[in-house]
Amino acid sequence: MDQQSNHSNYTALDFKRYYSGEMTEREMHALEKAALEDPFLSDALEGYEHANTPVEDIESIREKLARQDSNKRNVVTGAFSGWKWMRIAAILVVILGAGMLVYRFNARNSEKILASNEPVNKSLKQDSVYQAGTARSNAPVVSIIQESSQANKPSTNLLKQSTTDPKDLAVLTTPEVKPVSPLESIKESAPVFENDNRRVESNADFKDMSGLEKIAKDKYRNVLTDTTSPGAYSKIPGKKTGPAPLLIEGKIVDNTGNAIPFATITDVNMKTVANSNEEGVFRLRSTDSNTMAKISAVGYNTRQQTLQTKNQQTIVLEPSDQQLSEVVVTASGIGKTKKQNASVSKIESKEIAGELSMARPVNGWISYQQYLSDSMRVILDEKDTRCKGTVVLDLTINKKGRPEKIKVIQSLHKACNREAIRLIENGPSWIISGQRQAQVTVNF
Amino acid sequence: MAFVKNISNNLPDEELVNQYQSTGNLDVLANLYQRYMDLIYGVCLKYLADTEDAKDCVIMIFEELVVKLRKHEVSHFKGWIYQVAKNHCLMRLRKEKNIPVTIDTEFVHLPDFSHQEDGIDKEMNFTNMEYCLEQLGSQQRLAITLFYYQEKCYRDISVEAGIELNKVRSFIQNGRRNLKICMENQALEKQK
Repeated sequence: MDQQSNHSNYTALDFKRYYSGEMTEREMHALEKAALEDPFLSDALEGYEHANTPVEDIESIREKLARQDSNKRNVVTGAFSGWKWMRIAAILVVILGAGMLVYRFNARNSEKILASNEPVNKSLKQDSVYQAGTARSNAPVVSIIQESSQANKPSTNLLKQSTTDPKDLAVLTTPEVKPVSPLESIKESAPVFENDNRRVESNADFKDMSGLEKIAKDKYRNVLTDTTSPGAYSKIPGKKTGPAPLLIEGKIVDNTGNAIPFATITDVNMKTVANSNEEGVFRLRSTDSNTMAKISAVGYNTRQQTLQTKNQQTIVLEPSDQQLSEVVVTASGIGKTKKQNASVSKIESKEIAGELSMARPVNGWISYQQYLSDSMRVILDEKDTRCKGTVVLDLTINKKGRPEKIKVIQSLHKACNREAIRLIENGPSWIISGQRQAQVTVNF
Repeated sequence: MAFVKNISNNLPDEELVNQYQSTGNLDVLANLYQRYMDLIYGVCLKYLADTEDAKDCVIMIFEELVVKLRKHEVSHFKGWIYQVAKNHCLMRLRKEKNIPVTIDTEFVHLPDFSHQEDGIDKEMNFTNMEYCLEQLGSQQRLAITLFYYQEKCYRDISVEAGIELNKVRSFIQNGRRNLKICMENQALEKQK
């Protein structure tokens, strides 16, 4: 049987003739027989039953195809390759642009949330500097973040003062002098942070907050409600939970069994969020009795696990050896008094907490630094060169607010050290907040 | 244009497939496609039951072919294009009506094996067939004899045997299948 011959044997015309009865019996039989052998033909034969004008139909298809065909050919020979690349490039640009946007948005958000998490935790744990308690401690956090994004120019002044040129150090410092550690320079800027706190505390009404602050506020308002009513749940505002809300309860502890407060529990599927309260207890709203959740807390490794509604489960978080990244604090000082009332410095998360409890000068660190630089005498060493460098002093504040027991931690030169001690002894009084200890860095 | 001029060369399908695969020349493909376009249109009509849809369908299958034929190794073009066309129609139906349709992936090969057998067996087959024909149901036997022995067309068979026109074909098809099964069994028994 010649299969090859089939293709030209039957055309639309044949089918038309078949259905219109123009075919002879013999022809019909031949077609039917061929159709029995060939499902393709058989299907086609069946199909033509629906066509009233098969020959014209085929003609119109042929025309359309010819048009398309020539179009395609033009494209192939002509601008096709160029257009193709242009198109690919355009698509790439769009995709990359969108990707960047999403990435940056996410990165910024997570940074802010991370940053705002930690200080709040710390300040809540401490015997708070702020008498107003938790509600107030919200505000400074927000303001720090806001300030940090501004990055004032004049603010670098103090930093420059505190860290001397490495060359000068090499020439002038005595062997016992340790290099200036970032820690010291940080201390200087800490007061700025405090000043700023007070400023924000004073106008800590939440009325005119920007969008970001609102989000942060919302988040922490939830935290606050959590602390007042154990196990209260929270969720992302505006996000509706599913039809049948279930509550998943649990407790978050560290590997020694201590509760971890303010951990964030996120339902991976539903995107609902809950925070643990002071006892580490949380309640997460979910539509599923069995859901995957991400549990994260600052200072602990984030973990993912399935949570069930059945019973209150205990989730153990491993402490993370990863430290919170440094927080950049920028402030523009109190009021509009002096230009150099600004400082930029890196403060490690620990430092903020530590610094807050230390004693501070009555008028704040900025005016104290001002006093130091104003009252400083020029000191010459044995070689009659001018003292240049940093002296760090440790001091204890007595009940009257006067500095006592001044110790040199980082010395420069005897004469310089003496001058530094003199400055502090004769300088402004101090306020004790928590600790009696304080540390002063004097730059010559 | 390639689609306006008629099928001029008589090269076998496979030759044209090779040509297209090596050169990508659309003229060659158009030429090849035209050989089956009428049938493809019929297939599309069968599944879509609408002339305009079927026309679109034929064009889309050609588009599909432009890409597909370069990638696939095709040994039997007619069977292959039939399958492509059918799948295309079924996919389209499935997309439109969201009805799950099982796609017959079995490659089309013409189910006539009788010519493959040797001449020696032919005599034996003949006797076997007569025997098997007796075993068929009366209507199937009648339809088969009228169709194959007397070479009548469906319409005539329908009149002569008093069977509805659209059932004639199914009688013949089923009869053929039964006949084939029967003959295979006979051949096996003879071997024993």
